Amino acid sequence: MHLQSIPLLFAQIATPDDIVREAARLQRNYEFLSYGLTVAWAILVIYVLFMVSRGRKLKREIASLKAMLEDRR
Amino acid sequence: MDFFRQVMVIAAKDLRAELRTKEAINGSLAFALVILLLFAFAFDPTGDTTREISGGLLWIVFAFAGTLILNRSFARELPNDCLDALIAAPISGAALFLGKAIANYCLLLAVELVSLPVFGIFYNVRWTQRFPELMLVLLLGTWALTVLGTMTSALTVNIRLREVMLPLLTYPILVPALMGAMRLTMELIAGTPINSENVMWLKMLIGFDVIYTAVSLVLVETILVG
Amino acid sequence: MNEKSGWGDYILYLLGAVVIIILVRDIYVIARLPQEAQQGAIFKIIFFHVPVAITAMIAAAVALVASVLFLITRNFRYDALAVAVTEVGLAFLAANLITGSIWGRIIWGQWWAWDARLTSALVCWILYAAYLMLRRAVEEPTQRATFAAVWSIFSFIDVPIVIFSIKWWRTQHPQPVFWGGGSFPPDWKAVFLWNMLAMVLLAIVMTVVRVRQENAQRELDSLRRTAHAM
Repeated sequence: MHLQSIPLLFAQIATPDDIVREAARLQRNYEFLSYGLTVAWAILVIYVLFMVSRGRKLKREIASLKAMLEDRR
Repeated sequence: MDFFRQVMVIAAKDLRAELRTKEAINGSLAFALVILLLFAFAFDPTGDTTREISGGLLWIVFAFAGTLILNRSFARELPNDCLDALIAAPISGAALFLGKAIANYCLLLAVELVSLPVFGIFYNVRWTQRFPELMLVLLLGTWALTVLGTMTSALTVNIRLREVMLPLLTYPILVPALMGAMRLTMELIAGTPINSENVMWLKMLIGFDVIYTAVSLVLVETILVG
Repeated sequence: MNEKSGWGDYILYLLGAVVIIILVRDIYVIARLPQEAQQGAIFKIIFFHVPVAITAMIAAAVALVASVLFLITRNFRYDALAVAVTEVGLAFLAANLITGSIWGRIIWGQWWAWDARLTSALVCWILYAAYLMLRRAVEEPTQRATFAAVWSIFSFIDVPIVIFSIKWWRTQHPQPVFWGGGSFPPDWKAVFLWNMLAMVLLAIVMTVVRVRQENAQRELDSLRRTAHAM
């Protein structure tokens, strides 16, 4: 029982290398999380902008056509 | 005239027209052989790996060659306004669709039955080990390809970019059927029998065929009449 | 359409403002949540990834209902709804695919894993993108709406078959954390549900805007016809 727990004890002691690696892993995690959220938001924002521009274009065309029809009358 | 006679009349008409001109079937067959040739450059045709991926290769060849036949299916009726005449004829849209699907099915099966031995010779594959099961998979997979292909052929007949839209619509929706057919063909060519593990692919293939045949028969009238 | 657009506009802006407030608050709350034990910070992407996926699924279901209703009633309002909701759903599904891919890069070590859900989501995306392309290819409005509705029904039937068959093929996507008894604490669940609500509301606002654009487009087409006739 006592002897068996010794390797476990060793396993829990972190070497400086481990700490550096763990920090790097966390850093990478945050980095990718920020990429993910940025890209996802970018897609939705681009879609909204795309819709806004289409809406403007539609409004403009309808207005100009209506004006033209009024003129002809 | 009852429904099945109408279906057979349409199918016979299409087959007769095709056998007189042979434009779709010749093109499709030549295309299948060319793809088989090209694959030999992409993969080592004599290696063991080929046997493992052979099911996939075969169905890609069939799907590509199939679009050439399916593309012509409704487009053939466009000159001289034959399509309008067919729609105005006293038969239901479902009968017209089913007749055309059966004609395409026969043509596609013919192309496949010619390419199979060619494939076996070129790639040094003994594909006849599980012949009856392989034929069953071939029949089921080809029906899935035909029924969806004929449907998209009807959808795209009158629109711009017909040649582009047909494969664009057909291939993604065929993904499950092609996956099942590829997996089964791969295993049958390798000599594995149908067992409790891969039988569910067979069931899925049957289910796919039944569902899409039924839905197409219901919806084709609205597509043709508009 | 014009006489009630005043009130409709107010409600729409109000909803949009509510969505933005909830989302900004959620970003703040999520950033302060502790890290998940096994996966670390990247796990938090789930607060975005899953609501977006569920919203896209709802969008597909609404598109199916609208398409069937169009085929029954031949009312172009349903066609406008179908195209609007499909387009919005595609944008959401794209966000879902990309967040999932970035998550997979960390956890699986690869951008794309060809597992069941990724692949079926991709097939689904392609099917609905084909829907939009089909609409562009058909000129005549009634025909366009009919063909698109039929295609929407076909695509919707395909999605569950794709999901099940790719699951048989191979899978490595994590099981849903809520039903699998995973490590999802209750206060996280609350944040998640808030985000879910925000996403659905956002999709609704976008869809309404898109439906209006579709109506404006039809008005434009009819004006063009009048102008042409004169």
